[in-house]
Amino acid sequence: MEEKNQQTLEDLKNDLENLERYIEEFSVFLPLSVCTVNPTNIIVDINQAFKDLTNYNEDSIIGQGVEILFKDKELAEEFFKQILQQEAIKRQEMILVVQDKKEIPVSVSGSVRKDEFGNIIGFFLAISDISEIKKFQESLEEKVEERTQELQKKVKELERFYKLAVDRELKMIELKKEIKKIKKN
Amino acid sequence: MLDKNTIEEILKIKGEVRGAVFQTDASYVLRKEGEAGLEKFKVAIAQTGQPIKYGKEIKATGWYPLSWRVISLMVIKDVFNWDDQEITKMGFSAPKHSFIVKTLLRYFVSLEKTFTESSKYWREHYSIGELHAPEIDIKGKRLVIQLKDFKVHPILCTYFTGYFKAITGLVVRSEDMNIIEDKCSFKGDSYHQFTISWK
Repeated sequence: MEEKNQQTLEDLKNDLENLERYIEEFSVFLPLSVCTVNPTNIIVDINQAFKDLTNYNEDSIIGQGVEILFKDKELAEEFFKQILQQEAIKRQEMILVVQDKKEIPVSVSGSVRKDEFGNIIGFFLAISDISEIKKFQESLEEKVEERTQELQKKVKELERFYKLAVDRELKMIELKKEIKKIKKN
Repeated sequence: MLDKNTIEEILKIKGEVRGAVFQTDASYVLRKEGEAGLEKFKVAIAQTGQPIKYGKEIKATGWYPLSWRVISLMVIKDVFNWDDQEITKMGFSAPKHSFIVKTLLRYFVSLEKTFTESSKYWREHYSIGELHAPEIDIKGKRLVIQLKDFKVHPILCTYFTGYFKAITGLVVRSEDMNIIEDKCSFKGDSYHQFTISWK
């Protein structure tokens, strides 16, 4: 019995060590910025991608209020409230303020964390940098605007041509009437 | 460098600690002193004759002699000539980097939850000693933590001053937090007591 218990303990220890390694490796690999927040909106954990994106490290950001990360504090606080109420919210666009005060457009998703009894113990925030998408979107909008202006110009030219043609036609009709009148006389 | 007698005295300390503490020690030295500093520290540890490792060999969830924990801190203090303030800072930084703390984040929900469950939290880190919070006064912005049956080494009192402050900072929002060790087993008291207050 003692031997069996010892074996079970050894197996559990090995499982725990494997799990520890897996979590560490996964956390370093994961390219998505994630931070863990408790119900008082204090950041309690971050991953490597979060550090790469924000330039904050564990010492400078863990223990800080999560709203510090976002430009619009009211929008952020409302978003956090909604996560706790709805349990998960996807893709809220916000402006992230990183350590050197640079602003980055991001898409933020949140999901609540629960303990084994179903009590809410905080939430995860996943933050994706969408500055490239935004740039692409802006350049696309600029192109659409340029094309629209070009089209409007063409439409105006066509309208002018149409007006000229109609005026010419009307003049012709008038002149034909005039000629007819002269011939009669 | 720690002399042989000091090391022998430290090795008499009973109890075990999670390997995460050695990882947080190495990580702090690396951040403060760089790669060269970490190497210097490892060499000094090897000179103590204790097989304390700081690389992949150490498991955050594994149990190791508590005496090694004291040796690790003593050697760091000695090698880099750090004062107590730096050891306190080291303790303050530790929970933010500890894998064990990550596994215990479920306790950092509120001040009450964190400190009413402090004995469980303690047992996840140390095989000896009892941690509890006899006074959690949210309105009065004051918290009293007592650590009993843990007469290990005074360097840990200095370290815990930073550590408990950081743990409180995970559930209390305050830029102005103060902690004092107002009772200490090494100063004639029967237990350690830390009082934390904030504005």
